Formats: sequence, C-alpha cells, structure tokens
Amino acid sequence: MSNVSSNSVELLPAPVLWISAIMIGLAAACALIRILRGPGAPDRIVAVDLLASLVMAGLLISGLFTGNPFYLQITLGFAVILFLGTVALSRYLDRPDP
Amino acid sequence: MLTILASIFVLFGSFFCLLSAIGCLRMSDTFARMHVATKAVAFGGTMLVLGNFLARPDMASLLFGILIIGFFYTTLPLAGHVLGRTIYRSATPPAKPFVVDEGEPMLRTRTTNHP
Repeated sequence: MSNVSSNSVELLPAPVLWISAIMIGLAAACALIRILRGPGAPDRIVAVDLLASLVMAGLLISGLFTGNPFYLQITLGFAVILFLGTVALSRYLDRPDP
Repeated sequence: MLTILASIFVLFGSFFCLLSAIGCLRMSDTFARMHVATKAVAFGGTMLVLGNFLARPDMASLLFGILIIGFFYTTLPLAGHVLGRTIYRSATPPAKPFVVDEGEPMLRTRTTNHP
C-alpha cells in the first residue's frame, strides 16, 4: 500500500483520496450486510447491484490514487456490462411459473 | 483552484455513495431500498466522474467521462425498472399499503409468457 502511494503521481491531496476510499469501503460494508441480512432474493439483488456500482466508484478513486488514465477505460467497460447481471438475475426471478 | 474543486466533487460523490448504501441498509421496504440503491449511486458516480475530469482536464478524461455518465444514466434506471417490476411481481409486501395499485391485472396474468 505504501509502495503504491510512494512511486505514483496522486492527482488530488492524499487525505481527500483516503477519506473517499474509506467512505466507499464503509458503503460496501453496508451493502454486504444487506446481502447477508436481506429477507428475500429481491433485497439481495438490489444489494448486489449497489455493490457493483460501488466497485465502479472504487475504480474511479483508484484512478485518482495512481494517476493512471487507464482506469477510466476500465470504468467505462464496467459501466457497459454493469446492468446486465442485474437484469439477468431479475428476469430469472421473474420468469413464469412452469 | 481546480484541485480544490475536484476534491470537493470527489468527496461529495463518495459521500453520496455512502449515503445511498446506508439508505439501502436502513430503509424499511424493498421498494425504497431499490430506489435508493439505483438512483443515488448514479448521482454519486456522476460527481466522481466530474471530479476525475477536473483533476486531470484533458481530452481523454472528457471523452471517457461523457461516455461513463451516459452509460450511467441509461443503464442504471433500466436496471431499477426491471428490479422494481421483479419486486412487485414477487409479491414482496410494502411497508405501508399502496395508495394506488394499478398492477393487479399484470399479477393475474403472471403465468402467461409476458414480454
């Protein structure tokens, strides 16, 4: 971790990035608690969708940490395929009874 | 100056993501959880992308930022719509009874091959 922040160019002040990363981590913890505790499958799908969006936010903050513009392209690819999992899981739950 | 603005955007975006996750944990209703998890994160992610652009204002950041925001705002409401329909059809009880419930014919035809 110290290795990453020592030989890289941070685009923003380090405390800002650390506070943002900690907030995203707390948000991911909340989503994981909802996944564990959700009363039914729809709650868990909602929490998985939220967790995928938080992964994308974490990718953006990682790009700010390292100063590598490649993270934006990774984020774009993730944003394209993000909703497919949610739609697939929802349609799976929503299929008509046999 | 631009760095301060970018820091404010990034902090606000991640704070909004945290608010959304707390709402997803604390809301009393599956519909409210779906709403707060799919709409609020789009706003927080937009703030993060804007902060990313302000921290490195070049052409690639602008282009990818516009594309990322566009995909956010087209795909996340779509996922929210499909999720809401699934929650409604799975007969999850709301915290309070619906004021207007126009979807009952849709529930009655559930066993047919719906589009």
